[in-house]
Amino acid sequence: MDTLVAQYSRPAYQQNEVFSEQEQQDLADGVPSLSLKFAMPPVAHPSAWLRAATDDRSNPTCPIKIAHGTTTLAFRFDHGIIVATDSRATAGNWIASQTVKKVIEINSDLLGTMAGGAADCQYWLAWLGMQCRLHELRHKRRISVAAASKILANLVYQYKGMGLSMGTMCAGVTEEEGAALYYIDSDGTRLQGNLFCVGSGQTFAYGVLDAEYRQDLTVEEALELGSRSILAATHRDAYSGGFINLYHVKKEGWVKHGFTDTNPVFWKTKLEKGEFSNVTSDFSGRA
Amino acid sequence: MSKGLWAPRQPPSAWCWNLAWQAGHARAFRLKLQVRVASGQPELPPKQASWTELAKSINNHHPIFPHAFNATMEVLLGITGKDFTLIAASKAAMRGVTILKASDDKTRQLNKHTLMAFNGEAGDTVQFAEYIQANAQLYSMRNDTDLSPSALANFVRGELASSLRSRKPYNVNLLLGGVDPITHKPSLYWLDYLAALAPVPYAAHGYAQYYCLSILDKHHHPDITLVQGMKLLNLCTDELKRRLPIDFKGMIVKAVTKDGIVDMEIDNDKVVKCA
Amino acid sequence: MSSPFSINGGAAVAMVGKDCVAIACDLRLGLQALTVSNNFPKIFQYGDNVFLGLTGLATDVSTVSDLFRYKVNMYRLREERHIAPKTFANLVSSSLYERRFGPYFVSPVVAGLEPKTGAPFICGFDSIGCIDFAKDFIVSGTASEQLFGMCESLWEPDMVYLDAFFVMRGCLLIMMPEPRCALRDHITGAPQRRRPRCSLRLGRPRLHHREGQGHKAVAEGAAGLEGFRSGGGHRGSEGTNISVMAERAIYGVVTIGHSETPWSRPHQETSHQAQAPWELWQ
Repeated sequence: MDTLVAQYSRPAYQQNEVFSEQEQQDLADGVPSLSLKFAMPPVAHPSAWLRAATDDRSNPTCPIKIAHGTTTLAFRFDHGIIVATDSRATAGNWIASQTVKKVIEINSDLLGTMAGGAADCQYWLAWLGMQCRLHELRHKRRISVAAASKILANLVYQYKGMGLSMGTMCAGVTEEEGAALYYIDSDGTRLQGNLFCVGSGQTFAYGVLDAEYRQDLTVEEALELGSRSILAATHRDAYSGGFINLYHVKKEGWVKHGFTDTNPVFWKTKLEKGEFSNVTSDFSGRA
Repeated sequence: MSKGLWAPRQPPSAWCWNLAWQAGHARAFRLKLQVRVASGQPELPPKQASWTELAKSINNHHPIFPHAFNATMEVLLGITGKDFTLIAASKAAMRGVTILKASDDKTRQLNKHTLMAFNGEAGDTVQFAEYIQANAQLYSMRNDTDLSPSALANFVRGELASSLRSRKPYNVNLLLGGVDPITHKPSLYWLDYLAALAPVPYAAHGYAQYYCLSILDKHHHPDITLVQGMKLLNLCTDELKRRLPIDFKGMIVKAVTKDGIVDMEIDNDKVVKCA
Repeated sequence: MSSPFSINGGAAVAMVGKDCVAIACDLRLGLQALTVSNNFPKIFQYGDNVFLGLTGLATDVSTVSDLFRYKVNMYRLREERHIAPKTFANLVSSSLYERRFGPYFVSPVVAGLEPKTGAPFICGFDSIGCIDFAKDFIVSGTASEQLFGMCESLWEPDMVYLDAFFVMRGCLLIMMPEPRCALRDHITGAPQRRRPRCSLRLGRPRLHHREGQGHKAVAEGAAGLEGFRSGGGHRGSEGTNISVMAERAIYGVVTIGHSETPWSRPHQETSHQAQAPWELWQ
């Protein structure tokens, strides 16, 4: 139907385009065919080859070190969804960047988070944004979070076993669903839930978050809890750090609550609240 | 000195050891008479296979590797407060995927004011802990005084460090908590199987570290009371029940205070739901 | 990644200034990515003007530091004097080579002032005792590449102690994503001593502590020292190239010698050849 409409609604000057009808259709279609869009290495088992080249756990001297190591979290509560991330990108022991934006603004009321391979997440969440926009144009209404997350889950499932590495959350508030939060990872898992932490610092964030999480948190409490949980992870996990990126998703769309340097926040938390008693300001010497 | 050995203050059951213990204390308290600053010649290869082997064993037994199952899944927690040190250990004795016992006590009392909790490879744990326990008690008998927690921690570290470079190292992670018998200051020491020693205000071992340290970072304060300490411990065990994929069968909790070591009540039957 | 040298993480740096040396390390004890303790010092003092920095496997940091404490104490009892840095360096070297076939997994750094001349002395070692004498700086540990970068670009000859101090601070900042160090007003060394000596510690800020107070303390402690320049020198730029293995934990020592005292000779060239151990024990 779309093709039919496109055929007749196109201005004359676009008639002889570079891309054929079919190619345009492919581009607009939800799932790109595999081997046509991405160049594959000329070896018998591309995925095994990729793993050998990029898996730095099994092979510390691997030539390509994929950026991973993150803390991201999102939780649902009475007043919407809080999304918070750190901003560090690492490649092996090297901090590649301290200012990565790990929250992807898919559209004005859908957020996605990045954990795992930075490039994978960036590319496929941008692509998801495109699919959501196309969905809007086709159906003349906003896509639901369930549908958006399913598009991503289906896509990564197509690539299962080929070395994609991503753990992402989709958060949004829609008319039909209310506040909705989904976890999607590159294994193909897709879960709806109230609270998720993803990344190498997830356990530290879970620790702080679980202890004080309630559905009836106020907005201020929820924002503070989200940011404190990220801080906890940046303190203990060497692969997390940098800035706290904080969002609140509401019915009217998401609101950004800053991109805050963890360092002053850490010292403020320690000195004013007496937390982090592990870090002493005087030096103890040997045991 | 000899009086200390043969007329101990404790009942016979506590000091009547066999000859093996005598050998053990000889090892622990041998005197270094020789000053050997530098010989100028390399030492012959040690009794252990080779240093590459050691490097490999360090890698292979590192907690991130799945076959160090007990070391990662058994929970050890320690918290210091104003005048106490809390030590908690999970009650499950595991072997592979089987729980052999659900009321295991992974702690040993070293002297009146010092308690040690341990996890790691089956066999090594209790052997090492009791070896340390016996030596600590022997010291107390001989000298009519207890070693302080810091002295014991450094003794344990020394024993574990020399074991690391022997043919068969002990694979044991330890928490050593105590209250100084003179100053009454509580202390806690974190030791891993590599014999890295760190004095800390609160600590954990295994995967519990990943969940509990952030909670303790947030809620711990050096001046907490024992009641507050138990609350903090409950916060930690709740989170472990919520997020650890295995059932560790609850915790045994003991508090070291200036008056000695007391067992603490903890509600192990509490059901914790995920958010 | 899981080499014994990088399990626990940590870094140390030592450098030479004009009649002074500086040595610094971080304080983190980690287990791969997990931070276990923020209070694990890696610098140890073995006498009046001798410091040893040890990075690598934490257990061996403790073992080796204890071993040298024992050996240096025995030396002091027998010789009735403090050990000199060069002597200590040779002791470190031969002691490490004794474990040639089962080494300690540490990378030591020695920094100190020669007791007779006051000449600065630094050197580094590999884990089996090969000495690397240097006139400028020595780096070691999991952030050594980053430290090399900072030192190569900021170090210059004859830095006055504050310059050296700031370069050192810059080096330490580079190991940490967020600069968290401030001067600490900890000064040892009595003013009436013939050889004034200051030992500054870089540490985390205390409660109610400001960097300025640290500077003031340094100024007071070092009053009268020639070449003192307040606030001059190279302030460490905030780097983005950081080793994740050395975070939120920092500690350092700067030892300062006096340039006007009789023992100080006009920039004497220090020997850069290894001294045979037996020469020292005659």
